[in-house]
Amino acid sequence: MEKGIVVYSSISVVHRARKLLKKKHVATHVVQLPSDLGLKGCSYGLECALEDMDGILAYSHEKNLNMKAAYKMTETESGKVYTAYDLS
Amino acid sequence: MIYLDNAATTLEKPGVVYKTYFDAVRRYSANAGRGGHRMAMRASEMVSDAAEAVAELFKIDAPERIAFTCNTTLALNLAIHGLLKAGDHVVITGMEHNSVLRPVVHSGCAYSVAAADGFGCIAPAAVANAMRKNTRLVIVNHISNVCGQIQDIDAISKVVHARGAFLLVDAAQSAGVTAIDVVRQRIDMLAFAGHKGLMGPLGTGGLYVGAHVELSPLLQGGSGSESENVYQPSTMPDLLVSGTVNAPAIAALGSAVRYVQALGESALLSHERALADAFCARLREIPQVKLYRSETGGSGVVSLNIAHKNPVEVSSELDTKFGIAVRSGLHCAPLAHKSLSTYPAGTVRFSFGYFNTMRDVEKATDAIYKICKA
Repeated sequence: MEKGIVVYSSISVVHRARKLLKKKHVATHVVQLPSDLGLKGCSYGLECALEDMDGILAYSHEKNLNMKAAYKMTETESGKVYTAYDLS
Repeated sequence: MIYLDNAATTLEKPGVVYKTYFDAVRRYSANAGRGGHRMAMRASEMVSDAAEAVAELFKIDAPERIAFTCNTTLALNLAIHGLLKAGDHVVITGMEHNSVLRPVVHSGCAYSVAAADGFGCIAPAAVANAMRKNTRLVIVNHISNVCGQIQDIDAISKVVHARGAFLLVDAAQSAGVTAIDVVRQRIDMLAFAGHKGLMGPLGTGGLYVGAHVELSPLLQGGSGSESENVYQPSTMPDLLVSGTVNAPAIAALGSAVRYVQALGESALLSHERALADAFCARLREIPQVKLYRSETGGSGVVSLNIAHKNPVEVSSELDTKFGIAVRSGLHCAPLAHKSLSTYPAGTVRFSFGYFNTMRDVEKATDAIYKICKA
């Protein structure tokens, strides 16, 4: 199974993003991310359907929601694998 | 007991504030931002909801620019010590509280005082005259906790920004009472109390920091973010908030803010000013009473003295004989009392709140009349 993960600059921004996306009928939920991802930012993010990912990234840019990273998360038999998105 | 000490803290809170607080304490008291389980998430969401409510009230476009604190004093300290560097000059006004004066003095920076008139009003020209080339910060008390004078923030802001300094507004008394728009008024930093005009629980307050203002953190510690970093995160609010936050109280503050918003802009000021006006009108008939209140620009805070009586004696008598709670003395604002020429004895302060009524005004004025006659 594949999911999208968007990591914001703080837990406050995570909640704000979730609420704004909910108003646009985009379902997400707050998750804590593994610390060994080496994130230089908040260790919380929004998990979403992979097909919503690009829209969420664009919307977050538009709303100045400070993002630190984004990942495609794939669940495999050996665990979750995170593949980084290029935010630039 | 008639409570007329709302400038210290509002005693009675809207019902929704108690309900939110008790629900949060009983059901959602996990540690906000510290953990991925649902309870911790719910707690952090409550804090986030409160930040959104505060942001809407003060027209702040990014709620994460708000750091919740336990009171206005901490918020002011975060701003003052976070911004000032050696060689900076600061302007404060003649109406500032010790929560401004003491941190400014402690900073070691040179400072000047923009003088107030005899009613506590600060002319923008007085601020301009006090500024120097190296003035980095101007701090203005929005509503005086001593005499209730409301300062013209719009006009002062223009003077401050024309000279390239930052404006920090001490909204301890004004938050929730009168309209504040940080964008339109160009307020760079706003320190506010949650437990006064906003009618939230004790132990709540906050600091808004504009995105263009860079602060150094006064405190360092756990933020629930960037845990691998030995330095404090640079993102707000984690930059300024270390350690566990009082999520139930902040959640209740969020409910209080929503309540105040629903009342309408400046609804509290209209109510409290009407009570204060009626109070002053009655007292002007008593020759022994001296009021320290301008004809215009006053709020729900009134200071007075009674001829040949020490303010502390008066407040004690009001308490013990008439069951009226007021505050006397210097109100932690010696500068303001010097401006009003009431230093060092101070005044007796009556501060009306949203839940006071005209009946309270009548009882208070009757009590003063009796004290004067005795």
